[in-house]
Amino acid sequence: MPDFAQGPGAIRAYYEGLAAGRFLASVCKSCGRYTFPPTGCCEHCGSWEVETRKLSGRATLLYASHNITPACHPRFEPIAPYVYGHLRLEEGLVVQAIILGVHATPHELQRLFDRGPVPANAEVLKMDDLPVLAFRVAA
Amino acid sequence: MKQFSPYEREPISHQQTWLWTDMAVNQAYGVPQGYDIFSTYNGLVALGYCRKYGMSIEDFDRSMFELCRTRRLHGSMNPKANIQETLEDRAAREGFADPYDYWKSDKHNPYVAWPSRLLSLVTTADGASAMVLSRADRAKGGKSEPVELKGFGISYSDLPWYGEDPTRWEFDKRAVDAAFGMADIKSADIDYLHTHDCSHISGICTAEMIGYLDPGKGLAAARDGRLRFDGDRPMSTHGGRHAFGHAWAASAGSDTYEAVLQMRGKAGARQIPKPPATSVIHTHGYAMIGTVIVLGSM
Repeated sequence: MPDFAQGPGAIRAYYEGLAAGRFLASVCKSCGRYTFPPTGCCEHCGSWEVETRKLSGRATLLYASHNITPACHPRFEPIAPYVYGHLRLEEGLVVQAIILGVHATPHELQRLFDRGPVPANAEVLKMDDLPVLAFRVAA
Repeated sequence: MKQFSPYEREPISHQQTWLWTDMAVNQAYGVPQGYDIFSTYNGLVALGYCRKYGMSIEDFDRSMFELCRTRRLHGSMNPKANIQETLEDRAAREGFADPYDYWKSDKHNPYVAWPSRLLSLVTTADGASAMVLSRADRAKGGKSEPVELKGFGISYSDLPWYGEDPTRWEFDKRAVDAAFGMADIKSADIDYLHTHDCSHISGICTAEMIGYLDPGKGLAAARDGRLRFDGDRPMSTHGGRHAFGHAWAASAGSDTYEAVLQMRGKAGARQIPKPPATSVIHTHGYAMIGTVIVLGSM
């Protein structure tokens, strides 16, 4: 299979990778910076010379809030309200995603906020129709 | 709408509305992966603000209450506002002696994205707006006093809208710099500012970035009443997205209309005592677009 970043199928390849537990980004051959989620064009310098790279999945959770019920998308109704966080990946990228391992209550979110930035690891949430990138914080 | 009659409108569910409007966000990765506007626009920005400036969540909550009071005071003075009842009157109507108890009530003001509550958010409205743009030499001598469009700027970003610091939105900064450069003004020249405030905390962060409010002091300014029409840093005197209401595409026009009313000295009960000579209007379009215009008296 050709490198997804060089073809039109970046989105499909990303989701297929996610289903297999791989977290894929694209890296620019010109400026060396990451684009995540991946696209066929570098979001920093506009170059089309990009290649696929696997991310470690290790992150730091900077802030965590929650969504509303019913969820904005029917896909997430079974887990709403869920915690939604702002993270920095080990590779330096900033990402927002669903957070696992903490409940969407003011009490638990306050405790998490008071702890300051905490380590988190990427995990795949298997929904009925689509794999979803999530991050789990240690209790 | 079936045959364009208001009596034949079919209400759309909250979920369907988001499914349609989030088409403008990021259908490849954002929406399918759990993106939520309430946390990204409100809760996460609030937490970033609190940590950056060492503010407690309790202080933040109190400040949001005070800011809402100001916006609803303005709404109560505007016959065109969606909500014309002050927060104090609403609390009393619901049987609360202390309006802050009403604010903290989960029943009346639940968290939509902790630590942000429902009453720090937009209220939706139907509406339309229009304005007339003309060459300068043809603007004078009309029925109403013209103002000058001195500068504008526009900039875009995909999700996430900010880097590590949720209070700093680079694309907004670029739109502001472009508009200020064209108009040749500095933040100290601004007499009246509107920032997009469908999230109250985000609107404060924008005002701080613009330099109208000091960094980390915007909420203190709100608590001190400085953002009121009669304060020294008036903002959103029509009531803002919360009290005036938000009719999406029509809102930038109504924000501009309010600024022009203030500049003409025709804002009625909520008139800024010294009509502003320079006004700045910042708005967001979904997903995310920052637009800024600078208006000056002619």
